[in-house]
Amino acid sequence: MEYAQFLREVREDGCFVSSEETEAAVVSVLMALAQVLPGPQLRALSSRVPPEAMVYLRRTSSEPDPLFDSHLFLGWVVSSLDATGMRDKTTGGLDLTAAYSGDEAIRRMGCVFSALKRQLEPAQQRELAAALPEVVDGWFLNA
Amino acid sequence: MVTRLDPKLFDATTENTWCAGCGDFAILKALKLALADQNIEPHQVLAVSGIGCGSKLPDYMNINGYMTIHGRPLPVATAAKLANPDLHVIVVNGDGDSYGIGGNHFVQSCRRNPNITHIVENNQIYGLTKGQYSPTSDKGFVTTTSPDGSIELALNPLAVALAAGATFIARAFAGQPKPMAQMIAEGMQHRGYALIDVLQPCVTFNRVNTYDWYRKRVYDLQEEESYDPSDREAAWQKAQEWEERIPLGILYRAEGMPAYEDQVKALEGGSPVSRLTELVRNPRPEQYEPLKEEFL
Repeated sequence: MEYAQFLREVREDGCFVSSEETEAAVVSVLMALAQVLPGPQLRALSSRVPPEAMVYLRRTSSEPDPLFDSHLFLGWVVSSLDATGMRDKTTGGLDLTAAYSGDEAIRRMGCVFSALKRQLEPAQQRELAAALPEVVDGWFLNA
Repeated sequence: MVTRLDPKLFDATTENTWCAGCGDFAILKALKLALADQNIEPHQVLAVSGIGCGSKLPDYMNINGYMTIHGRPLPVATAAKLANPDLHVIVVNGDGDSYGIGGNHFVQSCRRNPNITHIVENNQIYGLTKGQYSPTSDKGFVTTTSPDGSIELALNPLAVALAAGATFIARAFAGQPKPMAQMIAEGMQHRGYALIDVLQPCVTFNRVNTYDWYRKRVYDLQEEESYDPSDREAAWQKAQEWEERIPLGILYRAEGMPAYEDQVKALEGGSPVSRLTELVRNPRPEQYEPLKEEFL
């Protein structure tokens, strides 16, 4: 599949307002996956995604950090949300968008997982899920 | 066979109010693991914090906790250590609490060398108060209180600690919790003041220093075989590195320096807590008078 088509699918699934927002979600999920997947699963996934996306599946360390959990995984995606963390217009007031950023990040992550799963055979999906941290595996399987 | 405590022993039931994906989660996890790995039980630990997102941490752990007013955890922790040196005293607070409001206490603790471990959750911003620039915010950083970009240069906590005489200085990254847990354990085993500055992305208010920003820059000092953490000059050079490459690991460690409480004459006959415990166990009224005279 071409990268542009991959992004289009994610955008339609997630009702993203722009291609930039869609790509930010895709990139953040891929980079988070690169932090947690063991080498074999990472290579298997790399072989199934568009070449432009492969670059985000690179990890600097040889092995994933065993303490990398669902909170850290989510952190990568929340960081990509352009709906939160902008300058607080209320100058110190309650930022409701930030309060729900976790839910929105999980929703966006699900759209990316869904598009990724379509690139994988059921057995590959199960293998990949088994290598994900607790809770993240559920997000992946239920996407 | 060496047994190890279950980190879940330190879990608390308090509802966590950190933002989803906050780097503080990794710090909490690493601290629990460091304590479990050292077989330290919950009642043997006191976590002292200040005010801020990260300062909520003692509430999320099944240990003794003390939340002080803004910037004051270090003197409170020092006092607790003097009263009961058997306690493992850990300070956890943010960069604003440590280096801004509590900046003087930070410098004095470095030179005083109490046997406490100081974990700074350094996200380069005031998160709890909705995103104002902090002492470690980089110059030019745009926030609600620096709409045209921060004017000041960022404080370099590692260089300040080194200049002030700290005997253990380390830097960790919340995106790499396992080495962070190891650093916390080594800091706790160090006799004296141990600073562990943790680079911790604020996913809501700091859109610059993200997990990815750090991932591209951090490197492990252990990869440099020639690096010697006891070399103060080398540590000074490493403490200057930022932006392009950011070193992680133990920058400086000076062993054999006496801790503050080792030099307090009033503690030579035992700590106040141990003396009181002894009196409770073996009440002898003739002991009360000299003890009262000593402390009054």
